[in-house]
Amino acid sequence: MSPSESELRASLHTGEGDQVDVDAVLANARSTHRDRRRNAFAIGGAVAAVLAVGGVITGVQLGKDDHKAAGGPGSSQSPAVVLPQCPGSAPIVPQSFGAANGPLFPDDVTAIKVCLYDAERLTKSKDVEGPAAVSYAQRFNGLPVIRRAQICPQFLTSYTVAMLPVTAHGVAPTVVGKIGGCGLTSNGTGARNAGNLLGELRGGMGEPGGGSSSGGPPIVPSHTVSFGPGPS
Amino acid sequence: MRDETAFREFVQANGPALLHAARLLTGDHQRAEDLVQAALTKLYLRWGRAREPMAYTRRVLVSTHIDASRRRWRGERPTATLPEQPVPDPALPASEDRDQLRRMLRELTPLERAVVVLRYYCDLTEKDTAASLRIPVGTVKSTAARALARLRVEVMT
Repeated sequence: MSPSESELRASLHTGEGDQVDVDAVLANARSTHRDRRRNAFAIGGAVAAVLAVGGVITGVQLGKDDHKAAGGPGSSQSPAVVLPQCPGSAPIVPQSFGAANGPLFPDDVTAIKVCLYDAERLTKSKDVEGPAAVSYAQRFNGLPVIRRAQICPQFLTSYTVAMLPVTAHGVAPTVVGKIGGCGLTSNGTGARNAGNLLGELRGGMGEPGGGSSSGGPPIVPSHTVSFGPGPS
Repeated sequence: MRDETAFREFVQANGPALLHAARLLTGDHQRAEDLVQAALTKLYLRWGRAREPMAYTRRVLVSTHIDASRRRWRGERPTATLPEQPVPDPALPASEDRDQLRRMLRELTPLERAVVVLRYYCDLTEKDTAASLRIPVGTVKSTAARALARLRVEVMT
């Protein structure tokens, strides 16, 4: 005969009544609790140590970066100006007929990359920065505005000077001039006869100076063509 | 701070039932004590946060037992002969069937044993048994039916 459900229950209850050692349970539980807390502290300490070391390393790294950006201890220089590269071959003088009364250089120029070409070949370049660049810009801009169209015999000279002005906002339009001939120098919106200044720049680069007084390519009178009302 | 007085009272009041349930689950007094120790330690760590301490402890008890049963036990090897043979007490002939039932209980799978213990020793409903084991009620029903059938078959032969 198979046992009934009640017999099964009675069978399962047989032998119960043994007590649990409460003190042993408590001691084991306390020990486990202590171990867990110790492990948690150990893990937390390890994490904190790793974070601290990482923070120190990061701080040192950032300090190095700041040091580099500042140009070294005690340096009062402004951040290095990244100047553009010279064009590989001599650029042509920008067309300036009709609207050539603007400045050659922007007022806020901070540096000028000066590139010297003999015929098409780049021979020398020079970086003019800071007050010297401002001074050159002012001197170029201060030259008389060309109000008449000129036909300059540029074949008399093979020297070209390209000047790449840099401002805080970027690179301004390139100013290109010819040493010799009329010394025509233009950026497309402004034009000057700047043979003497170009010769001075060239002389500052270790080349024989240009212009009428330096023995460079001759500046010859240009043919002028009137192209509208204006002072003659 | 943990209320150890309340925990101690809980263990004193419910420890015997938990220990007996563990003995039914494991079929071994020493392993049963270890199982109860582990379950009560987990309860101690959650004391004050467990809403129903007894239900929580029962759930830990059966889940720990089932998990331990799934792991391969390498600490003991079966032998051909039992080291101790139980001697039936002739003064208690009525208990023979019960002893046989208890022996048959060990032949059940851990889940079947857990269902039988929770349903017929702890007197849990099918729903509470399912919640303790985290299985569907239908699984509890089918498992209980299968376990009872095996017990009855074993008893009849």
